[in-house]
Amino acid sequence: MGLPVVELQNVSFSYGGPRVLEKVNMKVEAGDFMALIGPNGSAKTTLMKIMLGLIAPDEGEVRLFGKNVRSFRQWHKIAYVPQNVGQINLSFPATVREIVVSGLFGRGMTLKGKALEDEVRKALSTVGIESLAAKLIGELSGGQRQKVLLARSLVGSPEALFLDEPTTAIDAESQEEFYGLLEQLNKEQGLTVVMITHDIGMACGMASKIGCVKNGRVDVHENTRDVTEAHIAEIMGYSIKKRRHNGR
Amino acid sequence: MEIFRYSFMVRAFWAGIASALVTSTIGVFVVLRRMSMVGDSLSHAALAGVAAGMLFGFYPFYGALAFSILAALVVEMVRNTFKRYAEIALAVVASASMGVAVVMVSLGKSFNSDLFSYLFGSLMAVTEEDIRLITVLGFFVLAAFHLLRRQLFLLAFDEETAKLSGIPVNTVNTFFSILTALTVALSVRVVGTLLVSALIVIPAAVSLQLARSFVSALLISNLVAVFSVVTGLYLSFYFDLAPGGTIVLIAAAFLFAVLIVKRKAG
Repeated sequence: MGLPVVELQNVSFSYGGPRVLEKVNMKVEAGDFMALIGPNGSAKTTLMKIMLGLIAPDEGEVRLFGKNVRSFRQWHKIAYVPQNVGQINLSFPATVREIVVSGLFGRGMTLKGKALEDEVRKALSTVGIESLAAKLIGELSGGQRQKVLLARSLVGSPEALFLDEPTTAIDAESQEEFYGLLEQLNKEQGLTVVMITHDIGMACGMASKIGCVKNGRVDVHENTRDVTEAHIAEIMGYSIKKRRHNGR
Repeated sequence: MEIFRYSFMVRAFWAGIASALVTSTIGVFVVLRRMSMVGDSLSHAALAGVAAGMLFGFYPFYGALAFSILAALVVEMVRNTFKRYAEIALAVVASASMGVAVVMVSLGKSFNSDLFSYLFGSLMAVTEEDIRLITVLGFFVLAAFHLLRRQLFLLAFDEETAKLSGIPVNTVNTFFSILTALTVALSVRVVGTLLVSALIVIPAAVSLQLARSFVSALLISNLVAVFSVVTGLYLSFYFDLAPGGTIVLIAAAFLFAVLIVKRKAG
């Protein structure tokens, strides 16, 4: 097995008060689909930002593709879909194509001409929005905007995709379609996926690993069958029926 | 045309069009980053620089340049300290700069008419030295924008993803602030410190209403600014009006016309 995509060793973090993460040790291996679940305020987003080097931990070490995150420069290997689809500036005067192309900016990729066009077309067609290429971002529905952000993250063929509650601002039908797309990318293209979600059904049905974040700890379950309804209730703080994605 | 027989008008058109291109380009990024008041704050600093130049006997344009760059760096520093209240930085710099300008003006009692030309813009006051500086700085600012356009696009759309794309966000932000300061300083000669902010914001506002892509937003903003400057200078020459005010009124009329037509259309 190669180097883990992400490895956290004894990572602790606080926002000045009590620690929100305490000596966290975890790994995400290449090809994993890891769902991070936990109640609101359990530091899931903080954990993901620490994984990506957007926040520096108080203690411990974070490695991305074997490199300390502080010296990590292989930006083309990772992509991030933030939690902000509902906060996108809808009057931003950019077409879908322009936004997808921006996924290549600054990531050390210098595609031009036909190679650039091919890469953009591939990303658009992977998420099924080729026909929207000339539309302004403000003209799209929430689900379509989310697909644009996904296409932007896929351009340049990253090896790992990090998503922070990507479906919070979209309807149930679009959510189902979005999850199907992620599953396909993970299974068929080997894309490593790390996703924060509140959708326990999706997490249990689709993810290969589940990271439960609570009280500063992260318990990673490598077999989703280990995650019982009682365990989910304990983690989330409320009772929930464990359902399978797409009826599985 | 008669108007071009006067060398001062040729200089005014040259300086005005250069200012229009630069302000309207930077304006699109300034508006999209929700920092529309930055031009206003920096122009107050430019005024303080102009007053310092007049008081201490150096070329006021250099004063405007130095003070507005310093103010831009202070804005960036305060903005990093008060991350959630970025407008504090703009208010602090605008007030402090105005304080400096007022004190310097009160110390140098004899330069009121010169100061007026910097406050409201002037056709007659554009010198050969101004033209050389405006041309060099304008070219530098536009070239820098061309080189940084991708990074600035991503920063304006989604700063967090920009960081994860390896873009040195703090460095680009600081450079962007310096470019904005240069833009303000080089535009005060024709438009005046009180109105330069309008030339940054209004053409960009028009472009956001009409553009069908980011490239077209930049083009529309450029066209509106150049049209406003050319028409404004022409009218101010024939009707003896303050050029800065005339230019800004034309741009504002353009914006209101677009808003009315869009509202009627749907």
